Amino acid sequence: MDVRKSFVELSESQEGRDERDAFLEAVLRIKHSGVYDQLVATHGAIMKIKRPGSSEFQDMGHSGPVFLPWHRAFLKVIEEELQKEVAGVTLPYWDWTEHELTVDFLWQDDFLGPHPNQTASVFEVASGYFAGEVPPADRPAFWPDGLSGWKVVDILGGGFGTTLRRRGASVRGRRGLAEKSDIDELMRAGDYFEFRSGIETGFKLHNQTHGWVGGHMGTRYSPNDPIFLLNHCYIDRLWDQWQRDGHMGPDFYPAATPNNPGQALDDEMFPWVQNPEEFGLDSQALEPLVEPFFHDRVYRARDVLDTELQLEVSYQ
Amino acid sequence: MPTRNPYVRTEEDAVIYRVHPGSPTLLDIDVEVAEICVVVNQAKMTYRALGLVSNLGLGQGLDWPSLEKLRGQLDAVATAAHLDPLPVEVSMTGDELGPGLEIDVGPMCMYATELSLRTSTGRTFRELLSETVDRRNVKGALFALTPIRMPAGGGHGGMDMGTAAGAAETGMGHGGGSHG
Repeated sequence: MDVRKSFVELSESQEGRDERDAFLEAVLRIKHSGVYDQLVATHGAIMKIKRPGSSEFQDMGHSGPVFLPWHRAFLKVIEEELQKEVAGVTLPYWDWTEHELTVDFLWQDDFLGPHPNQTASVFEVASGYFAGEVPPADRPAFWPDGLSGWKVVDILGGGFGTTLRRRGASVRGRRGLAEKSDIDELMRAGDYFEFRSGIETGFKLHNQTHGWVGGHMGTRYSPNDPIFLLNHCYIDRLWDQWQRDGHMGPDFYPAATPNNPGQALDDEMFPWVQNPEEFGLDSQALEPLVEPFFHDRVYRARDVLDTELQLEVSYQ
Repeated sequence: MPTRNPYVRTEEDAVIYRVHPGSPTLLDIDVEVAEICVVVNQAKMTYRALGLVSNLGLGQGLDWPSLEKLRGQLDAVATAAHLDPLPVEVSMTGDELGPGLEIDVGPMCMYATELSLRTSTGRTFRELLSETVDRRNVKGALFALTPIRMPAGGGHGGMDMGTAAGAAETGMGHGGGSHG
């Protein structure tokens, strides 16, 4: 069973290895190998895709019931790729309510790099491991040979170019990060629609947190910013918590979704479908990046409802 | 026990709404604050603008001149998830059926856009609306904004960076952002 922890709980494991550095090493390695960009492209692809037989592009990962299971499956795939590089590594989650440690630990150059704790314009990340160029003197011992920095692939830049961008924001206040009361309110949701729409579009929750980070995190290629991984890991953890609080199983996911075709309990989720070639991407340039995930496995919402029993993942 | 409305928050100096598929379609603006914030999810993908609706009409003074005057006293700024804040247009609409007023929701945004609407004088919206129409003899006057959908096929087809104005404002081009 893989155990995912809050970023504030990352510590030295029994082998004496720093869990934060193990995670960073794995992320940098799959960036260097090109797998990370394939994952970025996959997220961008599902935001605008034609289902078999449909002439309309639609978002098959957001703004509907599939939001939670699609991202749960995505995280599992990402985690497996990380584990191919660093055995045993798991995704940490970003507890948004940990305001002080978000400033003092997460947004530091030896973790995810700068994000000013104040209102600031969109800026290029110029220091830390996710800068476009990381000088050799600033590279940690685990830095992959041959990697010069965190370069965003041009076609996956969302118009921002090849250097990671963010926008500063205060962690507190009306435009700040979620408070515990925001999470408590969410967890009182009585049904799946209320929970899903709440966590996705609620005050200071998923969508607004993407905007709080700003820059690339506000585009369809948001995984370009590695905070995406921790952000969605927290969302998945909250869903898992809500499920274990009396909302587990297929009774708490819609069996039919007339307003959101292709997002029902037994619908396959692209790209983990039997016939991915029948789906239409909006950009041919994305195809070679997404194809490596074709015919790898099939995931439906039904297949990912229980993290522990179906995915062998638990949350601490 | 009354439950909290998950679609609205009231703060000392602002009322904040959120708009997404399935959310309420009337956002009360007859409020005692000088700022109304609307968190619009998927601007220019799902929603094009916010339109003013009222249960008052020409007979109560809700006419072109009064709406023009109201428009001139509103400042609207949109902060899309990926961009810096941008002023957005508050425009007159309408036809032979009567005048209307719309507020643009800003650049295309995959996530949430915070649309901030302020009275330029610092007076509350209620004060501003009371100057706009004569509601002394009207019981239960309603002033609200309603989300206006993107036209069919109008969303999901544009740039990641939003409008040209958005790109110009941030000094960035559209490279890689257009997917026909």
